[in-house]
Amino acid sequence: MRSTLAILIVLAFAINACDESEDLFKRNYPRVVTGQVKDISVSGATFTASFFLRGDEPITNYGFVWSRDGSGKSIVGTAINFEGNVNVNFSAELKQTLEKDRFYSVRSFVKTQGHTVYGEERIFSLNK
Amino acid sequence: MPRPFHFAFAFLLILSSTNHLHAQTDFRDGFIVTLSNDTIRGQVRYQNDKKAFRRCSFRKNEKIEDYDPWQIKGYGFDGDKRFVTGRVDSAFVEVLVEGPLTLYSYTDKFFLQKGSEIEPLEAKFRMIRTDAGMFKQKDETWKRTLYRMVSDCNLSLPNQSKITFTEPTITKIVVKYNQCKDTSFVVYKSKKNWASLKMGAVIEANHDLFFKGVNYTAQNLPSIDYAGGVVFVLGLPRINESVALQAEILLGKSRYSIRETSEMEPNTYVSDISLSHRNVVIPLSFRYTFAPSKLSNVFHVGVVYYNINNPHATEVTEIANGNTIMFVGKQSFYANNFMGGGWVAWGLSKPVGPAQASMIVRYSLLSPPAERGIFSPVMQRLSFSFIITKR
Repeated sequence: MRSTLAILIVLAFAINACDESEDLFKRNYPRVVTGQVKDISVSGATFTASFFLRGDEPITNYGFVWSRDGSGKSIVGTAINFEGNVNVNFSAELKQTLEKDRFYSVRSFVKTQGHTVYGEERIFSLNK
Repeated sequence: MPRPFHFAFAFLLILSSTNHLHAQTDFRDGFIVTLSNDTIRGQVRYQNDKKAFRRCSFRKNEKIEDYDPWQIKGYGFDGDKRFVTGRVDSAFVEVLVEGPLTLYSYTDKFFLQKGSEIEPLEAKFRMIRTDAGMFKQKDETWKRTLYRMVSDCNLSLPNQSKITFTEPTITKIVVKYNQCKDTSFVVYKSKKNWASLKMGAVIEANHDLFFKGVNYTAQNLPSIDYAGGVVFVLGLPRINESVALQAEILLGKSRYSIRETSEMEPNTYVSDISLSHRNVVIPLSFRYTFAPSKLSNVFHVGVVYYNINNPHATEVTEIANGNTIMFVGKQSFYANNFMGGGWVAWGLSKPVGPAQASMIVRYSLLSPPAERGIFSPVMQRLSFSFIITKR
């Protein structure tokens, strides 16, 4: 009786210790996160990006779309486009004269054969 | 009739029908004593109610025969109750103590027998007429009768005003008297404790159900969580073997995964909501086992409290327009630190060697794990539990 109880208690704690894999957020396509805009200066800035979950689809293009319109509503802008696959964090340098008191926006993006995925928009300016 | 009352009504209907069924089938090892003083061993139907005083059902070689009090001298169960006839007209009485002073129980009365003298003990009320009118007064005659019957022994007994008309109190005084007489006596049911606390283990699998929202599609992704821990069962076997108070302490982990989808042309908004937490669960319940000595139905009704530790509440949203996807990002939201509610359960219980094993299905109605729209104000949880305690 005691051994049965002990086995059950150990089993209960063992099951409790098991961790389930998180499959709710999984997708085949990659999901990209726009990172902080670094090194902001009059002569440009550095955009960064990472993956929330990489997914299985191979990436054909990746990069950033930036715009002088800092409203945060548009994905239209000038693209910094790289060809090829990427599996880890990526970044790009913006070599463009930035104006004081103007807000700029940037989004990361990745393209696969089937999907184009944009990260959330980040607003930046020389003032910050 | 409101829906909860339908449920309660159905529950009670099932309860009463199953109770009847098990009263029919709870035969335990025992014996009958014939009018010619022969003891025949077999199985006797175990009854906790007043029917035990009116009729004895005896099973031998798969044949069941009913005996009225005038057909046999008595019947009994191994290590348990014993009934005899001849003390009350057309009825069996239960023998609680047999010796120089014998104590019987019959419905709500007791009888004391010393030699050929039999005295009833009855707690009743009498009407007293005074100038102010009629009023009810407790008849304390039984106390005087009891003390008179034991007066030939120098017992240290409590003051008459302090004793109560209960089986444990009266049995204790009669046992003291018989010990004082220094002759052999038998206390039936002595192997059965008045109170018993049994410990055991419980392991369970849970599945959560949410109500669907109105303006969106909420898909509960299949998830099964597990919990395990210890269980304590407090029973009063002498009074009623079937009823017990059960307390459990379980350690568990819960995960709620919901996909919320809404359409706003031309976009589709998809939010993946995940809430996981570790919890200490304390279910308290009244347990009713119909025939504890064999495979039988068991019912629970109770409350439950969840103490939640370290909740991880995450919402990941994306907006899809054809093959173009805007990943909005990952956000956290506030999750509750406790949950509570009520539950009912049905299952089967069976003695297995020295243990009592039960498999039950619980249905719980709980407060939500988070005050967020997607979580309905009342959450339903279905659990399958395996409980093992000492018999």
